[in-house]
Amino acid sequence: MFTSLYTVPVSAWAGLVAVALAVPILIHLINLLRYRKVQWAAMEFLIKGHRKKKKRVWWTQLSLIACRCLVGLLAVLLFGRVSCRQEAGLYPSGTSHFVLLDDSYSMGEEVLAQVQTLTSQRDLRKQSCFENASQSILGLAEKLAQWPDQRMVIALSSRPFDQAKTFECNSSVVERMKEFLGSQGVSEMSASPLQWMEQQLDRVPAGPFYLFSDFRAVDFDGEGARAKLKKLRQEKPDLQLVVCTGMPETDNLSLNALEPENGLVSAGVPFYMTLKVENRSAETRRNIEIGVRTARLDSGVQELEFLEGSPAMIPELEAGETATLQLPFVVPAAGEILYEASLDHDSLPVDNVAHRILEVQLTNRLLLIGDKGRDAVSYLQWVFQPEIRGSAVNTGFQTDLVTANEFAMADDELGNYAAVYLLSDDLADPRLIQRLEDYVQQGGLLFVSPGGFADIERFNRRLHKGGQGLVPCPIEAATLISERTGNTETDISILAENLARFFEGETAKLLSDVRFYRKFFPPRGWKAAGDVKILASLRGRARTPLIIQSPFGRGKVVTLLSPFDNQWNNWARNPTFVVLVYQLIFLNRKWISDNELRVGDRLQESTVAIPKSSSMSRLLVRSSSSSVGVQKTSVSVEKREEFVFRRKGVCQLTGLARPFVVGLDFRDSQMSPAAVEQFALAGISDRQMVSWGEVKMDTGSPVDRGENGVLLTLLLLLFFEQWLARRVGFQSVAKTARGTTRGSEGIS
Amino acid sequence: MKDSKKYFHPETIRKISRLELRSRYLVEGLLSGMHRSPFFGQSIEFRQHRDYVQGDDLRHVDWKVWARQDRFYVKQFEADTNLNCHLLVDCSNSMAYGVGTFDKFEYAATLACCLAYLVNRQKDNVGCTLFDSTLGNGVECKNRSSQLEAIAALFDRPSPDSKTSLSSVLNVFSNRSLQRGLVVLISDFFDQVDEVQKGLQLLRQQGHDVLLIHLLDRDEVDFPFDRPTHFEGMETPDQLRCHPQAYRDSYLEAMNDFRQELRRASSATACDYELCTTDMAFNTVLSRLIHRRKGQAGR
Repeated sequence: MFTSLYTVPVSAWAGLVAVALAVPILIHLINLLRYRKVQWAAMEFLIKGHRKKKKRVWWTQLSLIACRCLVGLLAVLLFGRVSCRQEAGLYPSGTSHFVLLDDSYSMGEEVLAQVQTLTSQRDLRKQSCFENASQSILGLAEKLAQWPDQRMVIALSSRPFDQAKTFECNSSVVERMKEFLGSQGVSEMSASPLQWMEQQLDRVPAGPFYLFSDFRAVDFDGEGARAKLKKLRQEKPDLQLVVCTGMPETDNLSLNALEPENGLVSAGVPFYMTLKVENRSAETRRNIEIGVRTARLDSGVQELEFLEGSPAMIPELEAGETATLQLPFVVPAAGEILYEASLDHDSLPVDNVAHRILEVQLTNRLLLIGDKGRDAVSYLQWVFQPEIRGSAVNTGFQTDLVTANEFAMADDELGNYAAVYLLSDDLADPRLIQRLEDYVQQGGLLFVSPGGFADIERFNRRLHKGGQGLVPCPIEAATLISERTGNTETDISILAENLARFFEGETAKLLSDVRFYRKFFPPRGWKAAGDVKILASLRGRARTPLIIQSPFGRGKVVTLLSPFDNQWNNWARNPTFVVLVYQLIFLNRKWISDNELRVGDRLQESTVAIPKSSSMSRLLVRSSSSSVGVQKTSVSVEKREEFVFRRKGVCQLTGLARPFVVGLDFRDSQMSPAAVEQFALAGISDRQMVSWGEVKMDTGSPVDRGENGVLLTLLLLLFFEQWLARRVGFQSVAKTARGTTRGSEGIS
Repeated sequence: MKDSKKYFHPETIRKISRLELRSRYLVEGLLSGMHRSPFFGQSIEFRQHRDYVQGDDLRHVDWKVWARQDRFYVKQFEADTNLNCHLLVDCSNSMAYGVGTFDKFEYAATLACCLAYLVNRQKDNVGCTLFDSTLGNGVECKNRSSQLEAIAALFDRPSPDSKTSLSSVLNVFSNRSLQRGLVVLISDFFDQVDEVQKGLQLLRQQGHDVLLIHLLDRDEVDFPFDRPTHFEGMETPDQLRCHPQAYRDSYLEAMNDFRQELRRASSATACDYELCTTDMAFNTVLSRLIHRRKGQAGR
């Protein structure tokens, strides 16, 4: 507990402790000898009172002496601590002060710093975090030079321990160190300080340990970093984490994300990239330009080219807000594509650039199971890979065709296929069904469409299985559908919300051209179970399910109750069909969360709350995504709300998703400083984490806690001693002239 | 006799010379004076009639009543008597305690002289006797000009050196005094309270009017000692070495109990009780005593 006390000989402390214990006892004994004699008349009453209180007084006196001994003991301990501190640094001769200097690239960030000028006035100027660290290390060395035989070892996080430089702290140390630090700089190849410590901490000599870093979230956030910090604190109790960042810039913007939207990214198919820009300054910023450039990596590194429409523009961003941009991209050919977004006119470069490498697939592969030569099969093959004027059109799909028997016999890996489409009426082989079930069970997506000549009974027996099979409803014989009379009505109604938005606007006109002539029906009175969704239905009497989606294991089965054949309907020739299949594949991919938030959903997030640090969690309020247009850049704004936690523990934030609130987001820029609670959770105290301008030689955290405890105990004991002394009457009585009275018993 | 004047304190005497000391009860006396006697004698103030018996002086027969009722009645009148005031002053060892201007004995002596002067000035008889465990030297009750000097000379004897024993003292005193009167008892009463009560009862049975002046030192009331002290008993061989503040509460409790008991004993025997401490001004004490007597006499 009192580590610094060990620097003084034990015998000296033993002597002091003995004195502290002996003094109260001696004073008591001397007092016993200093009795004055009084001839007393009312002896009878005094003897009576003495008999009455004798035991109690004896015990109280004993407690009082013990209490005074303890007070003396604690006073010696405090004295020891204070006297040790006055020896400044308290490090015995030969102490090595180890400094680990983070020289990672982010340390080159220029920040506003308050520096001492020659005229001894403090001035604000821009200098890098690395310069801050160097300045602080020089100050530390200068202080250490005042004490005998101190040593400082400086290691850079980009280099192994063997290359650490040792300085004897004497009068010339500052000059030598300045020369050394001046020749150093940030390195792009530098590892995180935590990684350095993981590999080389064992070799660091015992003694004070200083880590100079900018403590970015990318290195210091997360469970792993916390565990490493905890280990460091345990192994190096004299630890100081020196934060070398400066004051926040007044005009800082941060590019926090450049991510593709969830979905298929395939050549020729438009997709969106989400880009987040946060205004970390205290003022509103206007006309923010974000340049987006791209290059293909598979054809050798090329120069990045600005995309069409770049730079994107954010007209206005208030302080603390995060703008989310959705940028449309179309990649003509498959391959690895590098995207770079940059805030070209922002002052701090570290968080102004974001990169993303996307692997763009050529197509989404569909496996068709059908009988070769059948109209429906050929028809769908054409739909997914049409040829217009002799040249193939890229719809983003590529089909492979196998017969039912071939599929049943083969054991190929089906993971390469985005979906499997069962068109065959030949369901005789049970292995076919078994394989399909296994595929869906493991998370695959299966389209099922009974053929025009399907054996209804076998279909139901093999695929429905009385409710245990892949298809959720049995089917009955196909029925003709009457011609529709008006032009305003459409044959198909899209019921699923997440599909419906793709069939609005221009696509709605296309959908109205779709005609259905015949269709299979589920039995009368059939109702979809809870987890079965009807995605589309038909008009009129036949307003019965057309497309049914049902879960099976971890995967999904989409059943279309009409063969895609000219005799049955003309949907497959309609452009909306490919969109439907595309969206169904997109929506039913296994990485799409079923728990995706919808408007009105209950939001709940947990975060660690530590009240002592000024930690705050952020609730991000996002604007509605319904304004996203097809192939247009959209801007949505996230407003940050701050919660200040007053109690330690896990805090749950709850709320309802409103039309403009679809999620709680606690993410922050990776290049922003790591959250304070990370350090608190790792057991790093506030005293152990200081700014580069406030480095002390003695962290003293474990000692000071003890010191405070001793001081508190001492105060409590003093109060107790006073109370006891008053009780036993050992404190002096305020006396005036002779004959004055104390107490109310006196007579007037 | 060399320093007897110190007990008179002229300033004190000047302040109380206007006051009258009156006895609460009628006392027997030979001389007519200011005090009413419980015995019937020559007087101008009629009190009652009684039947004539043979041998009565015919001068006392009320002839007007005989003329009206044809029966002989004798007229009786109240008689004025002189006050006999006996001052009994404790001179035991415990009375020697005191660290201020007066110890208890000196204070008691001064108080006794003041009272003697008052009584002597109104032409009543005053006497004084010292006591400790026995009844000591004394001056008989008389009304003469040298009486005061005789009483003052009584207090010039050496310091007291014995234990208080009020019961036996009062017993002896009651046997010795033939005429009833006012008995003023000045003492710290450090004795068994029931013994004191027995003595007081004896005095009351003989018709004495008794006034107890309970004299204590301020230290005995407040017990203000704060340093470790070795207490040695003045009347007993007891010794105690202690830190006085530790026992102050219990001591004061015992002392208060004693005072209450004494007060109860005095009221049980219809005696007056007055507590005073050695730091109180004499005129205050005397004024209080006289007012109390006056009020009781008026009832």
